[in-house]
Amino acid sequence: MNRATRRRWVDRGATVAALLLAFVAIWPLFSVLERVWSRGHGVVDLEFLTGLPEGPFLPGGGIKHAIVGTGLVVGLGTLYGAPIGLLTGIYLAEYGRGKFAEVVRTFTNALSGLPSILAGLFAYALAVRELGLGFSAYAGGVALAVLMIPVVTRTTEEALLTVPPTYREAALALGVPRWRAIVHVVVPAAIGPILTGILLSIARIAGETAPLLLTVLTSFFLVTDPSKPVATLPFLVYDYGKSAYPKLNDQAWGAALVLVACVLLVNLVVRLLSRRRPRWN
Amino acid sequence: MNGARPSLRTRLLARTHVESIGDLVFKGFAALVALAALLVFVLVIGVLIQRAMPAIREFGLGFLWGREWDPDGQRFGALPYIAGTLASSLLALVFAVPVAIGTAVALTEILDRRLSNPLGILVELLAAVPSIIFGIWGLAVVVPFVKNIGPRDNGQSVLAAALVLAVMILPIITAITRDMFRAVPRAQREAALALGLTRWEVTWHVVLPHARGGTIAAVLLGFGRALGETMAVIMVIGTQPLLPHSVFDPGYTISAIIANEFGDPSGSLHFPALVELGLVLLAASLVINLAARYIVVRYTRKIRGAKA
Repeated sequence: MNRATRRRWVDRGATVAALLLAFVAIWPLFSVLERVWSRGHGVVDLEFLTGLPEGPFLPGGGIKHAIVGTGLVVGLGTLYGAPIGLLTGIYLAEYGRGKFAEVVRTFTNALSGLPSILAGLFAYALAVRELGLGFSAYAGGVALAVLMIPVVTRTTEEALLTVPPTYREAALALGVPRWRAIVHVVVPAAIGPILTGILLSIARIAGETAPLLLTVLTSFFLVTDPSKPVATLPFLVYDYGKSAYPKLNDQAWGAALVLVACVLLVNLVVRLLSRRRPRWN
Repeated sequence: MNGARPSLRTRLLARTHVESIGDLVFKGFAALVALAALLVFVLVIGVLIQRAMPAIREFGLGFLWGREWDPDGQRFGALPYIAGTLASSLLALVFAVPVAIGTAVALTEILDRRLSNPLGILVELLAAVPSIIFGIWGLAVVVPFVKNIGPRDNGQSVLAAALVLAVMILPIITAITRDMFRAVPRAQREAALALGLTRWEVTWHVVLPHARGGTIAAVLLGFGRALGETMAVIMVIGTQPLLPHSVFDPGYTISAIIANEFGDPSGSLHFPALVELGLVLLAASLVINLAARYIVVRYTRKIRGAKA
C-alpha cells in the first residue's frame, strides 16, 4: 500500500470513528428517554397528576403534592436568585471594568461550578439552623438561589455584551442619562437571551435533588405553607425509586416522566425559539 | 453677568450633574447587588468553615488520610470517600473524553450544518436531564449491565458510577471543545488543505493543537462536575466505605456520604466531619474551576496575540 492510499484510509477510518463516537454520545439520551417512557407512560394519567398519595398497598394515588411543592420551592429560588443574578449581570456588563468587578466575575464564575450538594449543605447550615427556618420551602429556595445566581449573572452579562455599543451611544447622544439608556434601551435589546438564561436555569434547578434533601425534606401531604417541609418531584423520584414497594417504584417512573417532559420541553422550546448557543452550568 | 442666562455649557453640565444622581443611585444599587452575589460566595465558604471547625481542630490534616469512619467511636477519616470520589470521576473522564472529542470533531469537521445542528441540540438536551433521572436510569440500565460483565453478583460499583458520570459530563466537554474547534480560524484549515493534507490530518495537526487549551479546560470542568455529583452516584455506587481495589468493587463518595448521613448525626463531631468533607470537595471544585478559567483566558490571549 503506498503512502497516498494509506493516508486516505487513515482519513476514512478516523471519519468513521468520529461518527461512531458521536453516535455513542447521543445513545444515552435515547436510552434514558426510552426507559422513562416505557416505565412511566402507563402510570401517568389525570388521577396521577391531580391526586394525592394513597398508601403503598392501595391502588391509585397521585403526585399533586409534589408538583405543587416543586412549584413552590422553584418559585422561591427564582424569586431570590433571578433578581440578584440579573442586576449583578447588568453591573458587570455596563460598569464592570474595575478590580471589584473582576473579583465578582471570577468568583461568581467559580460559584457556577459549586457542587449542588454544597449549596444544600450551606443552606442547611445557614437557613435551616442559623436563621431558624427549619426544613422548609424557604430554605430550599435559598439553596436553589445559590445555584441560580451565577448562571443568570453570566448569561445576562454575555447577553448585554452582545448589544452593539451604537445602541448605548445613540441613547446617550439623545441626552438620556446612562441608567435610563441601560434600562430602556440596552436591556430590552437583549431581553431574549436574558430570559432564555433565566428560563434555562429555572429548568435546571427544578431537577435538583441533593440540595432539597438537605433543606426541604419531603411530605406526604399537600402543603402550601412555605415554612414547612414540602414534597418535590425530584425528591419523590428518589424516595419512591429506592422504595421496596413495586407500586411506589412504578410511581417513581411516572414522576420521572413528568419531570423529564417538563424540563426537556422548556429546554427544547427555549432553544428553538432563541436559536442561540446554549449556556452550560 | 448676574442675571444673564447661564451658558449652554453650564446648562448641559448642570443637567448631567442632576441626572448623574440617578446614575449614581442605579450604579450604586447594581454594585450593591453585585456585592451581595460576592457575599453569597464568601458566606458559603465562611459558614462551611465555621461548621467544620470542631472536626478540623480534632483531626487536623490527618483527616485527609484517615481510613476509619466510625460515628459511634467519634473517629473520622476521609480517605475512603476521597478515593471513591477520585476513582469514579477519573474513570468517568477516561470514558467521556474520547467520546466527547470524537463527537466535537464530527460536529465541526465532518457533518454539515443540517446534521450537526440537530445533533448538537440532542447533546445539549442530555445536559438538561436532571441528575436524579440519571440515577434511576443507572440503577435500571447500567447496574445490570455491569453485573453482567463483572465478577460480582451486585452491579452497584465504582464502574457503574463512572459510566453514569461519563454520560453526565459528556455534554459539557463536548459543547466546550466544539466551540473551541469552531473558533479555529478558517484560513488555518484552508491553508492546511491547500498543502494537500487530508481532513483527518487537518484535524490532528491544525485543529486539535489550536484548541488544546480550551480542550484541557473542558476536561477540567467535566472533572469538577463529576467530583460533585450526588444523586446519580448515590444510587449506583453501592455506598460502601471501602478503598475499592477493582472497578467492580462498591465505593462511596464525598457527596454521597454527606447526603446519606447529615440527617441523623451522632455525637458532636459527626456533622462537623461531614462538613469538613464538604470543604475538601469545595476546595477541589474551586481549584479546578479557577484553573479552567485561567487556562481559557490565557489561551484566548495567546491566540489574540498571535493574530495581532
